[in-house]
Amino acid sequence: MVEPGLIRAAQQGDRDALVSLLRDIENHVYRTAYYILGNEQDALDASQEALIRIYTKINSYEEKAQFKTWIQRIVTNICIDKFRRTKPVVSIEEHDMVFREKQDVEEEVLSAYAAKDIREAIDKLPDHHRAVVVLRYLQDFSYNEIADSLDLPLNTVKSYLFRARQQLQTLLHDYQKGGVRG
Amino acid sequence: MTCQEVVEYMNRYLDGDLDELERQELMEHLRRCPDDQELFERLQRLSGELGELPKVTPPFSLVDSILPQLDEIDAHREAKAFALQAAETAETGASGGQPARRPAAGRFSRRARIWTGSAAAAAAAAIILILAPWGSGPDSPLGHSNTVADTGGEAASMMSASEESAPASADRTEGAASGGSEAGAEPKQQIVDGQTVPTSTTPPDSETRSVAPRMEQNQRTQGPESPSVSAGGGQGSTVYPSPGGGAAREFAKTPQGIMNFAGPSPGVVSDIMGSADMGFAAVPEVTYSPDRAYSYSISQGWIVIQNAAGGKVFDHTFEGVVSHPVWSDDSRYLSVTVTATDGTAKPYRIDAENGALVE
Repeated sequence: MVEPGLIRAAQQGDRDALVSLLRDIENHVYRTAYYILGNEQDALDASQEALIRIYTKINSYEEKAQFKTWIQRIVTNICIDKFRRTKPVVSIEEHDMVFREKQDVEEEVLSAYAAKDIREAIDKLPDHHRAVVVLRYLQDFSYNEIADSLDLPLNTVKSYLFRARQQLQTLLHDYQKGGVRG
Repeated sequence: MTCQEVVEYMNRYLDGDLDELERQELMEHLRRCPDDQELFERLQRLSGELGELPKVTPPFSLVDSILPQLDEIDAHREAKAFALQAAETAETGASGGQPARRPAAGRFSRRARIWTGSAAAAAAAAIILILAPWGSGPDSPLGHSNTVADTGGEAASMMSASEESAPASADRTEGAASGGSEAGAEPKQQIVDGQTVPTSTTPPDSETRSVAPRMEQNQRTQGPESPSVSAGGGQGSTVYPSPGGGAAREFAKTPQGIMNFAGPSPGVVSDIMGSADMGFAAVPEVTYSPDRAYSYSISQGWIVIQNAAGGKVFDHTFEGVVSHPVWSDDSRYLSVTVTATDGTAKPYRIDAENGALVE
């Protein structure tokens, strides 16, 4: 995702390289923030803060770690430690009733969950479970990469991911069965 | 296979983590267990949906939006490096035995604190005026920087740098706090001491005469060669780091700080004045908690809290302008008001101990 040469140049004080590097990663940073925080404004704030932190801390990155896990660690920390802690969860959108209308037709009900239903369900997960899901599905990270990013043991990552799936599956299943929307 | 094992296998299957043997075990089990088969199908569907969540992108370039802040960070860094260097030189030079300079390591720091909060004399502003062109000389490591963002950054960092350098003494505290006269007198004297080349130009304005020509002179003798304080100006210049921060603040606040020096050196002053509006808005205020354990710097929406050792405990950029910082009596919380671009003001409280926003 980012050229190693670009990282090295940035670490050696090449400001253009550093800014260019930030441009390469800004979408990834934002995507994680968006799905962890559940709304655009907080995601923008958190992403900007993360990019600034990456700018100021670029020299603390060591090549023994993957760069992409290093930046995801920064953005998830900011999202979980600062924004999530201080701001109440805001519902992303009004719920529409499409599933309730279809709920008696099992086949159709099972055909697809709306993306916003999934996002709402993700938003109900505990912070670290949500972060694991986001890194797994929005960043395509492996168990090990998630463990590195969140500084969690491998088994904890698996446990969080499996439990998160179970919880999401239950939440979405409940929605279909009659709109238990917490 | 136990139920728990089956669920784990299902999940690992979704993550592509099963080997061929494990996969066959799972499939075999599912063939015999319709309930698990149904759960498995739901999990597969869920995983598919999660994988298709929209890859959202920001509505505007985030990097473009933070470029001004990145510039400011660069200016701060350069200024800090510069101020540290100046402070070190000052400490070295302090052993030169000038009567006006106290030998105690703690002097500068306490004074810096006082200057932060007390009225600074015009002479103090002169130091900043001198410093500004000198720091931005052609060969200076700061690079070419006529912008006041840089100048202001120097001043602000100087304060923190000298702050870090040491503790203080009470007599000095009172002296400086009780009025600008003593505080101003000392640096002025130092500047005279530092004069190595007599100036030939006599400024028309007698009020400005005492300081301004030396400013130009300092530029000549120190600017181009080296940023090191002791390099050009001799011993006298070693006073710079200490009151710099306070001077900058006062300079920003009091018009006469500028007026006094406007006459003889219009070029330099106009450079500074010309960008004063923009530049001094970027001079972060630094103020200490009641117990001195923390200090904050605010620049527009950016707020940083440092502990006594200089470590950053909180760093956050608000959408808007931060104002009205007030420390709680126990020095733990800093309350601020953030005024957004649409004019709405919102209070926030920062827990300095945990480095977090609490409301």
